[in-house]
Amino acid sequence: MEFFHLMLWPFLACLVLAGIHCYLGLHVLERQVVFVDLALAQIAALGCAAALLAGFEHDGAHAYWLSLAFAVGGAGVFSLCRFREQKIPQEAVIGIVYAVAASMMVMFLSRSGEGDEHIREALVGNILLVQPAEILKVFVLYSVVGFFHFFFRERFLLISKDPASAYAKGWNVRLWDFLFYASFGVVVTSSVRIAGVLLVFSLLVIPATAAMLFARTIRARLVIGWAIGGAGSLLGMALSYFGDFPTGASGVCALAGILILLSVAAWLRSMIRN
Amino acid sequence: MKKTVLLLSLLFLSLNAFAAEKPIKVVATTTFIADLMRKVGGEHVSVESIASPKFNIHFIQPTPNDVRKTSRADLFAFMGLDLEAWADPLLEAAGNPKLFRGGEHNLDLSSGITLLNVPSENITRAQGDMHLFGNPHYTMSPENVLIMANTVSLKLSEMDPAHAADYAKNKTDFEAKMRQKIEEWKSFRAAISGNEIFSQHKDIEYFSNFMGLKTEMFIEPKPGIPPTPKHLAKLEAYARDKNVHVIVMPSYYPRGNANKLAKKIGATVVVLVQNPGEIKGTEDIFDFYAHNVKAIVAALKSN
Repeated sequence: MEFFHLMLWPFLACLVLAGIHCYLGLHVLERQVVFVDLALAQIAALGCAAALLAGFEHDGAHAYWLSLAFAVGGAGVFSLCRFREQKIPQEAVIGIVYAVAASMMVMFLSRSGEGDEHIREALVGNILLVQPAEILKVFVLYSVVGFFHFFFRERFLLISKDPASAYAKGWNVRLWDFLFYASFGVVVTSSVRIAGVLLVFSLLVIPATAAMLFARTIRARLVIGWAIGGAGSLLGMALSYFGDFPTGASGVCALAGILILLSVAAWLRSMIRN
Repeated sequence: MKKTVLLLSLLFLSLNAFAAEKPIKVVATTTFIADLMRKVGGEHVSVESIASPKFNIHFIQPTPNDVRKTSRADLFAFMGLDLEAWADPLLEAAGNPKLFRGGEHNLDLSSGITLLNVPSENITRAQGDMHLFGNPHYTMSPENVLIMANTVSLKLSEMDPAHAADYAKNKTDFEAKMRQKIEEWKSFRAAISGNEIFSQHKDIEYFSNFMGLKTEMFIEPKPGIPPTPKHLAKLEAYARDKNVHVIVMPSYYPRGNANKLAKKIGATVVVLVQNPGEIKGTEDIFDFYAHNVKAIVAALKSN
């Protein structure tokens, strides 16, 4: 009963996060750009540091909009580095952007009045202490992003899965790429504030990876991914509550545990079939 | 009839007595506050703390058990200013409005303390110091703990007037012992007073003031931001110029930069603890101060 009382809001927050991140995770796995999440979060942090440098509070509205603007700018960089004949791997661009954003943040902060403590406070949330109002806010935000993607699902899915035929159709791939990365940046900026970098990364990649083990269609993958995201979140809450571990890290390990079990199941299944 | 009334009133009295014997449940953010609470509250309080002294207090991640402890607490005692950034979200999650900042069962121990490094003008974070409200590491001076003990005693008496005399007595005993120790520690001042030391961060000003030391230079003026080459060169020149031979820091920061600088200028790196229990043998407030005093005196005398 107390478990329910204490862990209800963190669990609901996990479910909301799992919803959008599993979907986006399927995209980034298809595109082979899983670390774009870390890069965008780091650019958002850079925006927050820029706000500090300009004399704004690290947890105020200015800092939020500035980090959002930086994340959208990062989306611009990623879409500009996308070519029909890709000469350099997208992962290289992501890695460079990550390192440069992190370094620029250190440089900005060395000129501002304080260290990275406040930035970390503002940007890296603890899901255990999430507020109901925050959950509602991101639920609305993610719903808007979700409907946007659902409405243009044909474009977003094809460009992630088979960019060559998207080019062949004469679509403006770079524009749709930008819209993809920009909406991704909007999601990540908010989700990292609530759940921290590690849990967000895990909710993005682990359910989607497990889903790809078992299904081919987007619909089946989403259903499996959401189920795993939900089960992993619940297990993570239990691990955190009964083991008294920090909640975000528990969620990551619970999700990974489920992935390992499912991988073994998939392996056994293929053994039996052969 | 008379008998029944008597019996009932007896029963009521004993129930009352039983209720009064239930200790006040205190949740303290740091081990320092927890130990002080136990010393002043004695048998009438049961105290738990949240932040392990082995980590930087800024980056504590409360666990479900911390939320549970807090939701059941009668009193939430914390350092205040902007030291525990996680305290307000924790209180929100625990959901007891009486414990919220400004609530009647919320005890901010920075009240009444003369703060150092308070920004003089109405500055923004960009120009200013790390801490807008002043330096929050005030427990480093044993003189401040006298003020804190008084704050604690007043609060406990207000919440539990039945035992006000006990709280006053515990406080007086603690004060007497602390005053005596303070004189003892101050007697070391003569040998070391006026010396200048380097500190990793701005977290020991209250202590260096108490010991009559100067700390004006910091290895990492901004926590988490590595020192620039210019800054290190400046520290080196400054150390030679002013004869600085001691670098102090708490145990939980990486020592790389301090060790390198120490080697260059021939200095000793000394661990000064920030909370009781940070290293073994410092679990009690008196031992905590004694450790810091002994460590700094030994290091300065050997030079």
